[in-house]
Amino acid sequence: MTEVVALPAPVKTRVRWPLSLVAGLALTAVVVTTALIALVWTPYDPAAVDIAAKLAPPSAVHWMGTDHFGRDVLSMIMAGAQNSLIVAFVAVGVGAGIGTPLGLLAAARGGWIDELVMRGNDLIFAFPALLLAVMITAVTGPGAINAVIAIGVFNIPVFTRVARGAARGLWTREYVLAARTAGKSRTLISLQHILPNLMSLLVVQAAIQFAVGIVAEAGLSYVGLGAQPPAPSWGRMLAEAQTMIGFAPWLAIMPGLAIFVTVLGLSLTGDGLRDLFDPRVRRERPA
Amino acid sequence: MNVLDIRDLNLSIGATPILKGVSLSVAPGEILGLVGESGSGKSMTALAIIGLTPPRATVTGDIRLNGQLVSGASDAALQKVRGRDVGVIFQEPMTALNPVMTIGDQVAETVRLHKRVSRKAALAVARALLDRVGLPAERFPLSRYPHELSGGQRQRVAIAIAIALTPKLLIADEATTALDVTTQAQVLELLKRLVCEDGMGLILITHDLAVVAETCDRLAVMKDGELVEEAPVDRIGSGMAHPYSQHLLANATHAPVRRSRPQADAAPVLEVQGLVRDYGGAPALFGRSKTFRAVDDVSLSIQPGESVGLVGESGCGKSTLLRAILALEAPQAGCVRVRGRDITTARGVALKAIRRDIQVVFQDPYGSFDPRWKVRDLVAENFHLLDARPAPDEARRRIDEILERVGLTSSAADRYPHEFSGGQRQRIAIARALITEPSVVCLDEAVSALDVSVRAQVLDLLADLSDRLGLSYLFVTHDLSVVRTVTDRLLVMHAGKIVEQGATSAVFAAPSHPYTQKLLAATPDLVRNPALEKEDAR
Repeated sequence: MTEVVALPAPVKTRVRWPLSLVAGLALTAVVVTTALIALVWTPYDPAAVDIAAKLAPPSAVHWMGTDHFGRDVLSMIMAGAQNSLIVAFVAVGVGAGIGTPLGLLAAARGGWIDELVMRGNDLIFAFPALLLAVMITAVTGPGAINAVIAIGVFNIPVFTRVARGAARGLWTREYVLAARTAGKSRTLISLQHILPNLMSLLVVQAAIQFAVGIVAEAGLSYVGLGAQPPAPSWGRMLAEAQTMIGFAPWLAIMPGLAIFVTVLGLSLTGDGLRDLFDPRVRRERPA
Repeated sequence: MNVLDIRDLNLSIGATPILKGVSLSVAPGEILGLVGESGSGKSMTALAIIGLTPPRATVTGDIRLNGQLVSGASDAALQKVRGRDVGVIFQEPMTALNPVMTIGDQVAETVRLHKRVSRKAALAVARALLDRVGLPAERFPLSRYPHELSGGQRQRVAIAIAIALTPKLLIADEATTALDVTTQAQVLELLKRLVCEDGMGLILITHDLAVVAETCDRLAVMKDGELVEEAPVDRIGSGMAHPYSQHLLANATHAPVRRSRPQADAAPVLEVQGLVRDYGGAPALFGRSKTFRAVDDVSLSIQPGESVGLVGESGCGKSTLLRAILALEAPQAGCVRVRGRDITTARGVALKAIRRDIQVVFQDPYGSFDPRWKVRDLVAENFHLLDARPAPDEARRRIDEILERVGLTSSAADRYPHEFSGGQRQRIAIARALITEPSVVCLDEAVSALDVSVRAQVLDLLADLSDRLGLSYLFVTHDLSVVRTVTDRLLVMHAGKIVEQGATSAVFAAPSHPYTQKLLAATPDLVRNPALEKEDAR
């Protein structure tokens, strides 16, 4: 007597990309492309010293001018993009790679494990990043690796909190209860149901942390705890430009702009991704 | 003069017509029941009356309040009308109130928005209003916050706000749907009293014909944006004219045909003994932490092929009991045996083996599926319980078979849950529960969120599956009208204990425990025995 129920026609939803996402991705693409080009070609050797051409303002020969050693600023910025992007990327990877599983574990287990993970988080959060970078430098000497570790460690609690908070909400969902009645272990449920449903949140957070990482790397290099000379770095370029800002402003403006564009691109991407993933925002936009 | 006259109201959003030529009127002191299934346009009619239609809606037709034309009026003019001439009460009492404002301030705010009075005078009015809706000063001072009140009490505050300016018309949009039956009965009684005292017109929007039958003077039935029938309420029993009204009534009182009988002499498939579940409060810094006993020494058993109802109001512990039976939470004492094996102590492979025998269908047809999974994977999830997963071809065949068995086509397997309607999703949930061929299926409010016609179909399906597969059911619900027609036996739960149990017909005919009597008296009933009603009146 079971009747067959007619199915509705397949739903085709047209998703329109938010403007901020398009703009953000475009800016980010410019930065990433620049970094990739710098791998094989820069207008000049970023480390080549040319005292004759020192402190030349932007011109047809040196588009962004030269510094006090006569090095080409455009070439240094192009090469520095690599350094900034790699440090920020690896740092986000470290933070997400360690933080997310910790957050999932805390949400899945609860009780004293949750307590332990979250209090450990608070501890890291409360510890100044700069101090950690100084401590690492004291042990291993300065370098880009320090920056990666210092920034990466401070990304861990960010991802742990995001993952745990959202995962706790998901654990009370009926589909998770249903998965439990299907005899699945907490680990399996975390991987199959919780993580995929958190992914959008984590991607948004990663884009934001990426932007924060760029600034943090510049900051650490500025105080001399990041990439060491002669490796090009936006933060150190800013630091060196400081004393010459009165008569060679381009030395500060150019790396500043590079940081600005990169961070703006990544922030817009993060905002746009959040809008794209959040069905509430998506629905409110006119179809 | 009527308090409300609607003539030929049309409303469309974009090119989609939502309301088609709706005409209705409400006289002073009259209660009109507006019934229909989800999407029938009953809430949209209410929004049109108060001028809160969605931004892109185009509205034509006349709406007159007290003879004054309000359709097409400006926003500012409408703002005066809302509150002063029309009061509205919505379904969710928690979201209708501002959580950071005291109840006194919230009622007084409405008064001050429309009348130039001092704060003190407004608070005095608020006090009088709260007294009137049954929230006396000694227990409910004006300084209370919404979270300190129960759902029913919050709904009373919402009513106080709605009647603050003695409107001519009150609209209650599913205002009692989220409440327990006893609370619902009290709130409906309050509304009736207020209408009687003030001579307001009341539009009671609901999906529940029984509520209409017990509360209203007249009913209007809506379907797909059209008003299909208007009739005095006593016609519900004697027959309504429109086929859709008859269809609605038939579905509301639908009793599925069950051919098989439970095997009374066999060993029980599910046996719960002395189950206790405490919730510990957070460990207190000083003194002992308080524990709350949600399930208190509960025992029950279900025979093969038997269908048992577990009813109780929110907070009685029925959901906690269910989670303990499903081994989703560990009890403090007692045991749960599924075909003789204790699920509370089993681990690993043994637990999986027991889980194969007891499965569950949850309430929410939207929340019980991972939105990212296809139906095939969702149904296949329970294959995890088998010792060896079936080969891909075999799995595919079994999934197709089970989907067809619950009334879907096998093409459903390759689609996502959001592509299905509420009733279809419940069919998928049933398919998932049945794939491991369990002996007991627990239904946690599994039909509560469904429209009556869809509910009737799902109940038929469950009865049919029980006949063919010899399934036992545990219906956990707050809705007595659901369990009446589909269960053999009824357990009534109150404050963590089972206070009464017996054959369903016997419990309905002669409830022995005072709580059961109260529950039954409060349940709105379409088919109430006229003899009993006379006795009540006396």
